[in-house]
Amino acid sequence: MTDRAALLPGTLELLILRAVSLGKLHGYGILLRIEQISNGALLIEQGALYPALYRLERDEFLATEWGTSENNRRAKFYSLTPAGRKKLRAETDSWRSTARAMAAALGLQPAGA
Amino acid sequence: MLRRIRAFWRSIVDRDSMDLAMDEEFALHLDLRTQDLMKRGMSPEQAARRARVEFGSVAAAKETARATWGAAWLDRSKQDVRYTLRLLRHSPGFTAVALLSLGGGIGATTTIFSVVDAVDFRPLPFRDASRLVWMTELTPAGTKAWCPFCPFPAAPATASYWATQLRSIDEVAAIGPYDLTWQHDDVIEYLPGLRVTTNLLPMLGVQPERGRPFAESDAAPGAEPVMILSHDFWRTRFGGDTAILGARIGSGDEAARVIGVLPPEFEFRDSPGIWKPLRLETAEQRSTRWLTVMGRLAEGHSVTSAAAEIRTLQSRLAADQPETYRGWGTSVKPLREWFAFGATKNRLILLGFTTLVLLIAVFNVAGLLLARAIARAPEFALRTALGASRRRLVGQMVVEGACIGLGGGLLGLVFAAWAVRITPRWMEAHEFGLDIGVDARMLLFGIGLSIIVGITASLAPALRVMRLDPSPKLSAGGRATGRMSGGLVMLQVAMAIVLLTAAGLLARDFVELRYLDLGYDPDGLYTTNIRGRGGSAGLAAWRTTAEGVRARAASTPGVVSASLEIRSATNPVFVRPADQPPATPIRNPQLRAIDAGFFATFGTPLVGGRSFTADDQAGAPNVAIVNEAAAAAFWPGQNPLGKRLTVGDTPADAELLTVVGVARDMERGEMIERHWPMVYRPFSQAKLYRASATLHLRLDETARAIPTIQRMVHESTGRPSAPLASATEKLRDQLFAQRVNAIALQVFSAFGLLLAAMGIYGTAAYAVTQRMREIGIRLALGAQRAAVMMLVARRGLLLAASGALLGVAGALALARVFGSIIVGTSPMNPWIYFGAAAVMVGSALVATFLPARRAARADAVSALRAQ
Repeated sequence: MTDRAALLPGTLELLILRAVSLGKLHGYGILLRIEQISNGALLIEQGALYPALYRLERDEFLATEWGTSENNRRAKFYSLTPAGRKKLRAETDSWRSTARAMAAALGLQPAGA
Repeated sequence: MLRRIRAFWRSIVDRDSMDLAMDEEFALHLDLRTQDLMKRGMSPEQAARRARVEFGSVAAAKETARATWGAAWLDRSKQDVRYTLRLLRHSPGFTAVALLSLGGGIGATTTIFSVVDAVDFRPLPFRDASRLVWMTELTPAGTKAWCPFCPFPAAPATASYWATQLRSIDEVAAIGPYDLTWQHDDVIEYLPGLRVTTNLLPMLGVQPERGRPFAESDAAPGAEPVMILSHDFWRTRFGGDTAILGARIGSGDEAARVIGVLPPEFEFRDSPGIWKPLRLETAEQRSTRWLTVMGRLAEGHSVTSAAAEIRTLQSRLAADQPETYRGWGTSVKPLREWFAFGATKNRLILLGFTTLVLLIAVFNVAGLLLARAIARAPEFALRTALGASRRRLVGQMVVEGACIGLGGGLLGLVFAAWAVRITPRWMEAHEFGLDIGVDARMLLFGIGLSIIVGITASLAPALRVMRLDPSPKLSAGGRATGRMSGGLVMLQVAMAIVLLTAAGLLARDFVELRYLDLGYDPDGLYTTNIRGRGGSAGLAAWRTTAEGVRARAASTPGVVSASLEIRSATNPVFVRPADQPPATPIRNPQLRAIDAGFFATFGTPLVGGRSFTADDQAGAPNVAIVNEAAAAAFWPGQNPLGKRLTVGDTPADAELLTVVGVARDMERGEMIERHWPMVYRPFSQAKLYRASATLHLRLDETARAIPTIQRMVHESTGRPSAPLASATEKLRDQLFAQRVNAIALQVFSAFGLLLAAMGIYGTAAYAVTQRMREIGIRLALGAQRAAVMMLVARRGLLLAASGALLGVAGALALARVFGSIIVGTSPMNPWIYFGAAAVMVGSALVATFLPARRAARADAVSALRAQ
């Protein structure tokens, strides 16, 4: 197995929002989608996924509905609400500037690049 | 937000279905993961195990999820409650002490609160009650020391003047006392009632439930006498019989027709059964102050503006009729204060005392909890090491406090439910006619108070847990903890001393009042009022009739002596020493007309001169007897015998009276101060204004004499006799509130003393347990037993001493508050402050001595093995 980066605190929720922004998914699907879009570079604690999902649902960034999974089982599907979409945009912007600032500070990249 | 609340609610009530949903979701996840892993070539068993490992703990995920929805809080609390209950069951001694102290404190506070709430806080049950006011005249100087400028009833003349002149008050209604005597089938009944102006009930917003209200014409002179019954009286006396409507009740010229019955929910002070119409313009005794006056504020006016207007009116009256109004003031207050008997302040002070008791109880329980927290330090350390968060531990302390508080609160409420039935009587609330009992407000107050109290008590141990060292330690109890528990004990001692001081002052006050030299002998002394027919013909014959009643009463078996008195012999009164110019300001004396046997009947000694005799008749020289106060006020240092007094309605028609005797001052339980100048003149020489008198009787066989006298009075005067009032009972009633206040405070302070002593005992006992090893070493090395005793007693004694200083300082600061609940003595009695501190310190000595003796008697070897 390749080296995987542990998640920074707070990033799991951003990843979930990003994963769901491409279409509604059930819990395991979200896990797979995150692995896929991060090219398997991020390590997700599977147990921590669900509490994060519930938190997002409680705060009304995610909507849920029951549907059928690919193996014909009842499954709970998550999708973005308008508020979730807005949050995703805002968080992505702030993440981008943080990452750039961190990179600049650590001398990995000239500032403003 | 709404959704969050709904989610939280669902998480509590709908936990099972949430759990099922999570189970399903997690199972799907694990299955899908297993399939994926199998696709990578794992065996089904391997894949399933791997999937579970990757997922981590399902229970933890669920727990976190539930925490997200808020239910975990409830789960934890439930666990904490269960844990607390187990702990409490396992230490029954601690539990009993904590529950009883809090129960006593909460019970007392809740009881007094519900009385104060019903009487002083809740709006009166009348229409637009906040606009209703109570108008009084104020007594001038010379009334009882505790009551100069007391609210006083108003004269009918004053009330009708107010009714016609006032602009700030729309409506003025008046109430006068009235008791109907009804003799039928050889029974004499006294029916309690009120006479009211016909606008009173409409002003309060009260309509009869049956029959009709008063019409203005019902009060007109010559109208048919009518009455309205209260619902309660109608039901209890007449069995709720509707046939009573239209019937006539009462004897002779007092009989009146029943025209209505009031609704059941209407309650009034003194619970009158009968309401009769009163017309201010025709009321008898127009300048005697006997009416309670109330009114409704006009639009745009306040109590203050009405008070200002009424003051202006009164000064106009004082200028026109100085004899009636000089010195008299006025006041306007919210009507509530009439129902509250003006004793709001006393009740609030009592509430303050119960709060003090409650605080002592809280501190005591806090001390107990703190000691337990210290004893449980190893347990806490262990739990912290096992991963319990500090917040969780603090939360548990708070839950423990709340449990104990609620338990104590339940006990307290049971106590309050019982006490609230007897308390209103001695809180001068028995005649409010207001509903005082167990109700939602009382329950809410009691439960709220218990929770607050419980959590407050748990704050000290909670703070202690917060500072807990996470490494497991066996030794416990740091310096900070010692300071905290010491502070708690000190405060308890101080508050107990404040309570003891108040109790001491009240007890002394009560004893003073009880054994006061009254100036007469109240035992076997009875009084009744007699009345004759009205009109001038009746008045002329009255002197003979009254004297006939007295003579027949005196010869009745069981009667030792009988005597007559007219309280207000001239009206308005003008009395002053003749040898002083009229402009000299004097203490206006009271004038009474009495017969020759008056002082003998009362058992009042004459300190000089002679009593009246049968020779002091109309036509003989006018004579007078003064009391010691009058002699001292008018002729200080001189012999009053032979001095002259001017007495009359006005200076123009004044008579001259020669002083022939000096009598002791008397305390007769009236508004007038005991040592106020009194002038007595013979009944036979006094001018009469109405056909009434007071008959005083000294009885040695009450059971036989009383009915005979009542029958005789009825036969002689043609009017049923009023009840015979016993002087001892009157005095007892007057002292009742004082006595019960004294008893209540003694109970409170004994409770406080006990709790504070327990606190001290706990401190000393703890010191002994903690230092047993050290004591063993000292004893082994040959330390003196006394030195060992001092070692453990020192801290408790220091705390008691500093608490005592604080307590005495607090009591001195509150002296003025104490002063307002005692009537006969000074609140600045150094012996009582000293005594209270001495009692407390003495109890503290005993409380420290017991554990200290245990330490000193310890055998060195077993002490060394301790712990």
